[in-house]
Amino acid sequence: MSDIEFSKYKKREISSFVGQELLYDYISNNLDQDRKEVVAKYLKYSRDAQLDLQKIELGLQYTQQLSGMSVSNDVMSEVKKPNTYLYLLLQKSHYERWPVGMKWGVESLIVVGVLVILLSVAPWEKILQLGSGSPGAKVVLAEAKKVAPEKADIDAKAPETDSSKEVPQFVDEGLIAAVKSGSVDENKVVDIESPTAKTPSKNLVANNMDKAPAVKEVPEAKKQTLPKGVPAVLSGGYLYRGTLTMKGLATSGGKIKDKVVDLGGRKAGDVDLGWQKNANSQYYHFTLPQAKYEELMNYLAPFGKLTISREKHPRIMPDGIIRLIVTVEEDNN
Amino acid sequence: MTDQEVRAIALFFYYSLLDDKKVIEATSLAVSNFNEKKRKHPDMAWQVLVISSTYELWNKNLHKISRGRPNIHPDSGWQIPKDVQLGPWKEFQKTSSQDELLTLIWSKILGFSDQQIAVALQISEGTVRYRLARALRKVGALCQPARLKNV
Repeated sequence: MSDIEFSKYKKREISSFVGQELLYDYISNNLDQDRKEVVAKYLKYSRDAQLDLQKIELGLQYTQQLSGMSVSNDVMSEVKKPNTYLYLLLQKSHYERWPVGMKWGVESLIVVGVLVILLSVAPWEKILQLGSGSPGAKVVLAEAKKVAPEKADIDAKAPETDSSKEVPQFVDEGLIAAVKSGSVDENKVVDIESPTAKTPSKNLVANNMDKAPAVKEVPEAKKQTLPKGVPAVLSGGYLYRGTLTMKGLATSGGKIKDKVVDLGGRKAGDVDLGWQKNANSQYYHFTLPQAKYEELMNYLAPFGKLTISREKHPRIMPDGIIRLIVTVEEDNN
Repeated sequence: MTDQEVRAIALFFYYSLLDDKKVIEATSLAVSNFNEKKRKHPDMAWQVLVISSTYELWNKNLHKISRGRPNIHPDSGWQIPKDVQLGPWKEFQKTSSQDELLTLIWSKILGFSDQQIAVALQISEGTVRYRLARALRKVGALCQPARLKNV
């Protein structure tokens, strides 16, 4: 028995506050017997409590009905799909909280990055070729035709008059057609001076065997009028023009010719290598592999005074081949 | 993860967000969270894990949740029981406090016990019952005009 003194009626009335708060427990059967009776009695005499109880009961019924909602299989499968990496990344980085400026900056960076990759990876050459309509278009710079075998007697007729005769590959500059017929006549030989010959050029004399003569380019000459029969070219090449003044031309001239042939040189015009221009002059018009040029210069340098100049010429040579016109003259000093 | 668990999470977000699009998104995230928790606490009751996962996600995205703007469509895949109106619930979702709304969903819609809710939220059972009582009074009050209309 408790020592606490109860009221003389030995019963305490439940307050409205407590009664209200105990309604849910009352309806859920969570109260002990004594409290249950007290709340029941409170309900009997309290209109507000009764209304509250009705509300709670309604709420329970309503939520009971809502719990009966069914979820379709489509929704279930949609929900079970794994989240994409991008979605998770955005979630983790709290992208939605970023300032607007930062969002725009990131988006513009992504766009620029994609453009840079696209520009660097895309095969633009093929695309441009498709656009031009001529895939694999090639530009022809020069055509090298096989020269007809050397004839013993050169026909006196002009080349253009005889259509069956092959047009010479290169024009023997410094000579006229009459001389090419084979007769060597000093009096008749007249140099056709080309504008390039008149042009002063800075030449270096080859005195030292060890060094190959350095060749300086002459100022660009006036455009030459090409002789008939020589095909036009698209851009200019070079012609190595030189003079070798030596002693003992009659004896050593053959050696020069042999050396040129050994180095892969071939006659470039109609006349043969070492053609006797006159008694004291030999004419060499030939093509030579560019790699052998220095070797030839080194060979010629001991013979005498050698001067070589490189001039611009409208005729283009194939890659790795150069054309030379060298006049070897007897030194009468 | 079982269908029952997925359904529970989906229903929670449906009634708490009332937005078809956001429900799918939130449920997917909550499912991932749930799986992670289950891996860490295999012995814990799934109801507690569901409550914990959904509560965590709700708090994380609180700033994105706009209550009072329902966006649900009849043909979105959610089949409401016949003769049940969502009007009172929409009003309740708009006006109630977060504690009342979530506790009512967990307890009376999903059927979780007061003890499970208390353990998941780390509160007392008395607090759970207090919140439930208040929530039920509000919902009941909102249901009354409809009931009176029917009468």
